Amino acid sequence: MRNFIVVIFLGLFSTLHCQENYKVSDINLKMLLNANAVVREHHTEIEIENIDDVEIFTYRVVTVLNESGETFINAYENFDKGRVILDQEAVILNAEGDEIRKFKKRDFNSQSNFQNFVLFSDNKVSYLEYTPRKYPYTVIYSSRIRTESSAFLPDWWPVEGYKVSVEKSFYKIINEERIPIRFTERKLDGLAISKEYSKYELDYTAEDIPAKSYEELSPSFRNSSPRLMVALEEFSLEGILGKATNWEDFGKWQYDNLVAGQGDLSGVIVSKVSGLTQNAKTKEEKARIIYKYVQDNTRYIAVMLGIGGWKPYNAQEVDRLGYGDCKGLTNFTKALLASQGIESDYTVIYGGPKRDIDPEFTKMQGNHVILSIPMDNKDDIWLECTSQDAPFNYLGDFTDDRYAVKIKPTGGEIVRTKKYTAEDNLQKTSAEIKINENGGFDATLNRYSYGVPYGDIYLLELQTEDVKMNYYRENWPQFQNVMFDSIILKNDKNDIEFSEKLRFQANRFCSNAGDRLLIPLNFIENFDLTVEKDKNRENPIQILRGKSYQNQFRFILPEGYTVEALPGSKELQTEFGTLKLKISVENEEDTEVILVERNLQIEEGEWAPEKFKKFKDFINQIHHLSNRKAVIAPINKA
Amino acid sequence: MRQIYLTTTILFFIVFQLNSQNYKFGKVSEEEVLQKEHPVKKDANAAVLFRSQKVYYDYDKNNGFRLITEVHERIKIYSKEGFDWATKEIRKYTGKSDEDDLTSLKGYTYNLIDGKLEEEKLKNDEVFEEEKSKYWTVTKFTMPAVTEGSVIEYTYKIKSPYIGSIGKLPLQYNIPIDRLEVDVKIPEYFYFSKFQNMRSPLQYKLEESTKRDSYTFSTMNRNSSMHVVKQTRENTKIEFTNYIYSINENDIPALKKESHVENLHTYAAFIDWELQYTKFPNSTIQNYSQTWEDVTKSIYNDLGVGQELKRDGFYDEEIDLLLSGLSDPRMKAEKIFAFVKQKVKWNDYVGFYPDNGTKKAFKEGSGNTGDINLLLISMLKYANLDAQPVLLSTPSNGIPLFPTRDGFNYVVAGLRIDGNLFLMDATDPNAGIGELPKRARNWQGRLIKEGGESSWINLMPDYISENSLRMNIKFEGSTAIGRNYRNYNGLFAKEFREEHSKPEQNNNVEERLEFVPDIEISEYKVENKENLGAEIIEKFEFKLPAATDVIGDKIYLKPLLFEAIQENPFKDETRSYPVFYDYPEVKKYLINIMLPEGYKVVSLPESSVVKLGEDDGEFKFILNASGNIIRLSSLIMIKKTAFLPQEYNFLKKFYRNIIKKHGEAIVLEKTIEDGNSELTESGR
Repeated sequence: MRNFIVVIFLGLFSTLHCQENYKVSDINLKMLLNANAVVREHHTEIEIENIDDVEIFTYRVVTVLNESGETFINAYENFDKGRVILDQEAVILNAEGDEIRKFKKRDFNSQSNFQNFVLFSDNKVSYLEYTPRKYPYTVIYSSRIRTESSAFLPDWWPVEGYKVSVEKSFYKIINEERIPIRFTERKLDGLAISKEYSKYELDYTAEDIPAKSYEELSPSFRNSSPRLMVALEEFSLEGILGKATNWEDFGKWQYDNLVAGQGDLSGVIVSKVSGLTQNAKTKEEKARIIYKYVQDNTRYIAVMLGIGGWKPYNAQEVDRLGYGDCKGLTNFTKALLASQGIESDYTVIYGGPKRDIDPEFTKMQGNHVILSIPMDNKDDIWLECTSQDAPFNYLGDFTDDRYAVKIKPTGGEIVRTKKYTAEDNLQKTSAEIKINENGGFDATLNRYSYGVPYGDIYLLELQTEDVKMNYYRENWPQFQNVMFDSIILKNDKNDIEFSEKLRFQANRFCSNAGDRLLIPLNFIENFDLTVEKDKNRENPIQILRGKSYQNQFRFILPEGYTVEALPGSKELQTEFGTLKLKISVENEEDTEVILVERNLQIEEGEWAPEKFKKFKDFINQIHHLSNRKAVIAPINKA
Repeated sequence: MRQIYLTTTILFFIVFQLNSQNYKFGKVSEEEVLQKEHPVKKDANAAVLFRSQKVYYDYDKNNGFRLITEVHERIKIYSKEGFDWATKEIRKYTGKSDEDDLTSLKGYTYNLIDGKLEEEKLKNDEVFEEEKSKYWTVTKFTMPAVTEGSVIEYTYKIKSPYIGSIGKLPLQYNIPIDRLEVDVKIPEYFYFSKFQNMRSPLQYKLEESTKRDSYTFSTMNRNSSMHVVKQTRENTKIEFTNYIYSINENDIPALKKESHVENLHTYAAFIDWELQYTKFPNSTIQNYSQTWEDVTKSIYNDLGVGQELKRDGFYDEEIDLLLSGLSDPRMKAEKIFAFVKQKVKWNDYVGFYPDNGTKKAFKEGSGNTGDINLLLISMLKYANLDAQPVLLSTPSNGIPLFPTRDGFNYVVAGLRIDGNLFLMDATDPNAGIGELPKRARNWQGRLIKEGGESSWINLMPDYISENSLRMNIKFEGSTAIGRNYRNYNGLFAKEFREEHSKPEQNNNVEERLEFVPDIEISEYKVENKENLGAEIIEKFEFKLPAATDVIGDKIYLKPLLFEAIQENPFKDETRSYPVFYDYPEVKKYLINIMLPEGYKVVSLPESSVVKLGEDDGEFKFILNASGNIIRLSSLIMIKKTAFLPQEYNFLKKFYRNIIKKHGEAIVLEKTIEDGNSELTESGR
């Protein structure tokens, strides 16, 4: 009976829209500006049939203006055992709005759908494969899916990305079962929105959203775009029912249903770990030993089947297999810590570019799990359990400085992970460069990296000699024919410090100008930020992490040469950062030495678009000052 | 005496160790798990201790012949970086009618735990099957309980109904193989040709022998009369000769990684098997391929390529209309080329055989390379032009060294006008007539004439593509103001079109010059971009503050400004693989600099002309000053596209020299008051 009603409903819907004509010439000019695609209309209708039975209807009309606009067609659905595609259809229209091709459900391609770091998942995708003859063209796509997991109602993102405009976007919840809904608006202010809502249903519409261009250093789309977040007060996840309106209850539900009871360990492993930690005095020492044990005995392999996408493997199973995904490995580490009386919290987070678990709005979020150990009167210790190499209590730029939720037996708790400040993210270099008459050099270099830069480089230690040499050659293209006498790398995981001691030579560094040599005074340029040459900045400027560089270069002149000309010292002080450059000449017995001290600090922050010119000037000045050269000449010529 | 005694025990011990290697499945030794590093390649992250691949045929009455492949691998994991070797993917072909069958998968991981050798079994629910495409399914698993030091071992069997599909058997990996046993048994009914990869320095000895063998199978006969059903079992035995080929090798080195190698596996050792013919008892020889002539004939006739070319009717009217009034063959070809490209878009699948058929592709507007280029050839023929298919192999498919059908995987059109051959590929929207995309420029192709006769043709262009720059610079203070004109022809132009085909890339000169702080670009113009095959002209004006280094009382000026070549593409010390250029090329620079008012030249970089090898390339750098104008002309030409590893050093030095000269500065200084400068002159 229900099916019958649905058919009628759908029928109505399609006849309604078939009367529309999607001529490209009907698109308002301002919607074409900056756009690769125009979303003519987008409907999401979510019908709550029951707590574990939700139907999502999508009707979407997209005009693709060029090849880059194809990413906005979005004619696909994910499916698995708990998520079934009922209908899927697409019609292709030419620029005049005439139908040129039609795809039925069976014409869609389906294949496994998971990223390559996952070994296997039962999730599949059914997608439209269409090679257009020419642009522009329009795709009318409609689909209906049924899911038993009401814990993931899709949110509404009326702005869909950069370079796409939206004529109309509709979002509606139909809820005859009258299960209370919760929702919250984020950054919808600037849009033309009309809305209606009750405790159970809602209906939002947005119109006329012109396309925006991406600019370098723009805030991330996910964090800065308008959205409506929606959840049910009572929900189901792969058949597990829950009820929550705040993080505390939601965390409690997650703990009870997903984490609790997964911490079993065999006696063998417990006594082994007890043996390993028996001489450790403090909680931290014990935790260090256990973390190392996990790193030495497991590896990251993800297998996600059904509820396994949300629930960790039992610790015992991870122990036997020697592998697991983030959930399994975190839970295993937690169980080992617990066996030694150390409490720790399973913490859900977004890994990757900075993105928060919304602290104000409770719903299933996150894509990664890490472990935190609460400490008395100290910051929590954070453990990334999927890495075999990361130091104890090191998060790096994958999970730093963002909101996460701890899943504790007593309930959920929003926390913020460790932040790396500009001072923390330090790279310190000192080098002595013996210049020879041909413009080449012999150098010894010491470099120390901390904070996020540490995370960018510490894996180099594990590479073969060839790879190491290649790494330096690729990173320092300004040197020709680099030969290494020695490369000594040290990864101090205790102090989280990476040191590089190099002795190397290259046969061209200075450029010739007749008898003279021009010495570039920035020996190794490691500041690589460049800015666009755009005139009208639209988006704010965002620097996600500060960074500091402290460099000291001593250039020893070849015998018989003297400094002919030297650029002056210089200081720049701005709200974006500071540069202090000190250049001087010293005499050491018969030889002259140019001493360059270069301290650069870039601040973290977000600045209004109007500041772009100032920011650009600052960056360009840094590059300009970094490019300066000293002139040296044979003594008799000078 | 005691010393001697000691040495003998050590010797004995070593010999004993060697003998104790037991390659039977499950017989992993403690020594193997204890081993800390690879005895030869110390930095290996993993090594194959043993690999055996057995290929043979089974016969049963219901299915006929089946090709069986049995693989057994024992792998040692030395470090965390070697963990990837604990995950295995096995590809299975799933064709339209019948599919490969993977059976008998078993796996164990061996570890030493508290001095005891322990094994952990790979369970069935830890093995997954993923559908990769219409044609391929992948069976995936990762071994349990793997840590540094683990030895893993697995074995599996694939039964295939595709009796000719022995294909490439690997003889080398990215990690060392300590012991390799390959054993191929082929019944007298099949004849295969076999060859090892000529691009690999490793060529292994193939031992051959024969053995009489037999298949026995039973048939049931059911005779039912009125009341009784009687079953009889009858055993049938077929005797035949098995041809046995085997390779037994120790200590196969790991394939070396190097930069600028697109497809490392091009250089890996393997042995490839191609079915030539079958000859079953009481039937005639069924030929598959033997000579290039046979291969092309079989593709042309048996696979219906020829048939596909004869189709017409569905496009006649449109072509007639398109070509009405045209008689010049080149014009006709251009019209048809543009028409096909606009009508049918490439769906990213390669193949010489049409996937959809030319008619369907034409109707639906998309197809694979076979669909599109056979349609192109068919239309060209319809227009009375001399067009033929050219079979070729993409780089990922290797080079067609031996006459095999699988040696080819791509087809383009070869068009002859006035005795000249032009290659055409309508799957590439940016290619003009005579320009192939990179995927199709792989050594030689086979031009097939009507009926299937064929001959080799060169796929590399015989012309030198040119990228030439003209730049005029003057100064306002230390700010350089200039005009930049650049001409792209041949494949440089095609590349330019590719890079500028997306709307975001319309003005990517700004992106290209992003590394130049403060440069201002204006009046950016591109001509002829849409005019396929024509020379592209790109011009802009620029303003570059601080274009020179003003240090002390002198000005240091690098004449090429931001156009100088600064980075050597060849950074590795040595090289073991050849270096390939995409096509023969020449880059030209002509730069005119007007000196800033009141300055004179102190020194100019020396001019220089250098040849690469005998005459494989050339670098010129010539500077002249006259009056207040300095003129630089520079040229970098690469005539040859393949350089042997032995020639690597020449290439590297060639570039080193370019970078040196491009980096040299002109030194200028202020002229003193006119009278004074005369005074200095005369003071000599």
